[in-house]
Amino acid sequence: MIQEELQILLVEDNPKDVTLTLHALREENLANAVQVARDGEEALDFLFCRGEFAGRSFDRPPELVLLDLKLPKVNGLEVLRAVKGDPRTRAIPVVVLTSSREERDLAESYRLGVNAYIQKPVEFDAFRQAVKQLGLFWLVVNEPPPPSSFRP
Amino acid sequence: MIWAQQKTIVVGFVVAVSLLVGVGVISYRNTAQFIAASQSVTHTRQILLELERTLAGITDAETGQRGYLVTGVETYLEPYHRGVTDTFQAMQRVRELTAGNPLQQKRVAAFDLLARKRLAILDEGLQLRREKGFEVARQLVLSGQGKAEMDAIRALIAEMTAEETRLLEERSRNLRAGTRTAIGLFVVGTVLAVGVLSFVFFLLSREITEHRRAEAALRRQASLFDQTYDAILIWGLPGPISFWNRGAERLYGIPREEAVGRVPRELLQTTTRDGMETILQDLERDGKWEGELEHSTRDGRRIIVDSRMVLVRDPQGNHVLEANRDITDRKRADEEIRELNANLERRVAQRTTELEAANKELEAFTYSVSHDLRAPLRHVDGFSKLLVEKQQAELSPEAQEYVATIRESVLQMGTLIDDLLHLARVGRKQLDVQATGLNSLVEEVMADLKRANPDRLIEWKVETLPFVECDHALMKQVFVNLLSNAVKFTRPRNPAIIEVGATDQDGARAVFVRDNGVGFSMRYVNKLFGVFQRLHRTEDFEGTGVGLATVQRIIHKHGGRVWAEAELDMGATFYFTLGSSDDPATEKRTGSGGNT
Repeated sequence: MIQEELQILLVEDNPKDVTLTLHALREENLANAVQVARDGEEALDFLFCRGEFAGRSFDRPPELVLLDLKLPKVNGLEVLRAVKGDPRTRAIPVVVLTSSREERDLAESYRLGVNAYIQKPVEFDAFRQAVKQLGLFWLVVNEPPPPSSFRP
Repeated sequence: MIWAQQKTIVVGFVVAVSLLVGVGVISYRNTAQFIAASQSVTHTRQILLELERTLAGITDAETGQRGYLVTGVETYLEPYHRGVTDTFQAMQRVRELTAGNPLQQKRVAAFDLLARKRLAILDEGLQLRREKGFEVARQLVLSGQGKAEMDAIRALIAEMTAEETRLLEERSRNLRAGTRTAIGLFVVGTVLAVGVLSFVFFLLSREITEHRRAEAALRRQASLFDQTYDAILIWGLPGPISFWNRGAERLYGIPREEAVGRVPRELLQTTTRDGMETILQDLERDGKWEGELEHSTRDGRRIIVDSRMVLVRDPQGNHVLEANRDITDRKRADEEIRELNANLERRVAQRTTELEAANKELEAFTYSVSHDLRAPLRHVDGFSKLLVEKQQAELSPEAQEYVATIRESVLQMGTLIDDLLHLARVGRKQLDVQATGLNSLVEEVMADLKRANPDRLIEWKVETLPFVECDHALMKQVFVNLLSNAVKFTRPRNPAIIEVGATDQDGARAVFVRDNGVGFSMRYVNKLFGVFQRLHRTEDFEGTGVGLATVQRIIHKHGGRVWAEAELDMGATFYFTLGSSDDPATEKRTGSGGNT
């Protein structure tokens, strides 16, 4: 299942969470093609091929975005709104992976078109299990969107 | 009616006065005639007197002449001369007095002629005596010369006297006739005038009586007006106050004698929201006005009155009847209530704002807690786990035990945070009320608990529960907490018996959950529903002390009540009601409360 190209954009400001998440993904050999964005702005730059990612192309979108909600600069919901509000990025599957399961976060995420919402369990085993499952599902089980779905 | 009567009186007076004036005029004219007649009588008598004097003058002259003729003494000539002079003087006066009567003038002229002739004869006799002596003169006298003239004179005078006497009689007759007419007219006029005056007097006295009666009635009405508590005043439009009852005296502290004659708006310093002009316009147009006025009393107090004015139309000038009632106290009370209400609203608004701010703060707090407090726990657990996995070989069993304890504490902390957040969420959440069958909720929870505790032997006894208006999710949470407690605290029992049912409690339907578990001492029952309050040791029964606090909060949000009865080691029963939303009418059996 190892592929050279980018498979996951992990949007996460906390390096400890990055470490733990990557650890979980690595166990399933899913961590090789992970790009980490440390705040919402960086995530948007990456997804919309601008700033330091100006050389990227919309033709090669990530297969999955794992999005934390509480982020510096631009928060996760705003990133979600931008991604789902633009025809060039709308088809990218976005999974919210966050500490909270506050109702308003859940409601707003689904309203904006999130593909899944996962609360990070406190227990590491449960967390690892969740990451493993969602990685397997979105990257292996799920049929990714065809290139035509990214055209306006 | 009164007007017609007044006209009659005036006409009567005019008639009476005219009659009296007429009588006066007639009397005056009659008197003047009488005076004129009297004067003409005197005039006639004077003429007669003068005529007699003329005759007497001639007679005197004759007598004197005879004396001289007989004696020849000159002194006898003196009466003769006087008689001649008197005769002519008298004749002259007769001529003057009868100037208006041509017939008499003619007679006077004839008399004059005869008199001169007679006197000439007398003078001739005198001449003869003086020149020829006594005998010649005697012969002359004896010859009777002059006797014829004398007789003619006497006849003439008699004629004139008769004429004057006739005239006198005629005038007297005229005068008598005039006087009779005058007296007649006078009597008739006076009688008529007296009659008319009597009639007028009758009318007047009747009117005065009526007037008095009306005044008495007015006074009676006025005294009736004095009985009322309201202030009643009458004022001209425009014009001064003409009536002021006792109520007005009481209300304004102004006695009647001071008020009457004053203009109300000056006396009472009237102010009104409508403006005086509007009130006057309304009165002219509708004949009435109602509203509130502000007045000053004598001691300078400002009072508010409920005023009703009625326009009384009168040809003599319109009046306004005004009745005022003091509503100052009522208005003040209203004002106070309004102010209190406004204050209350302000305070409510302020408190609401404060509460909203506090709520928002709490929300921000819980949001932050839910995001940030769990992350470190996750990290602790995650890295502890990684440590054990990577370094298992190097870690002593004791160290591994420590790490296990660390991870246990972390999980406990995580549960605590979740429970607390849940409790906070229950507090903030708006109730989403709908009719809910409690049996179906209990069934769902029961199924979950059976799955989670496959190795426990539990006897479930679920009775028919009512349908209630409640928030489905929150009510499910109540059963989750109560039933999982029951499962937890019956762990030492085999079999565990858990009952769910409904009972009447103080007229309300109460749902209960009963178990045969370890129970608790009623000494600590007041701590039961407090946050973080636990009646058992953690090593015996795990828990955070938040579950029952959450139950209580949910029940209270539904307007209900929750309480418990227990005995140590003899099980516990938890009851709750749902306040007024309880509806026994919808109670019906839904599904079986199956035993297992």
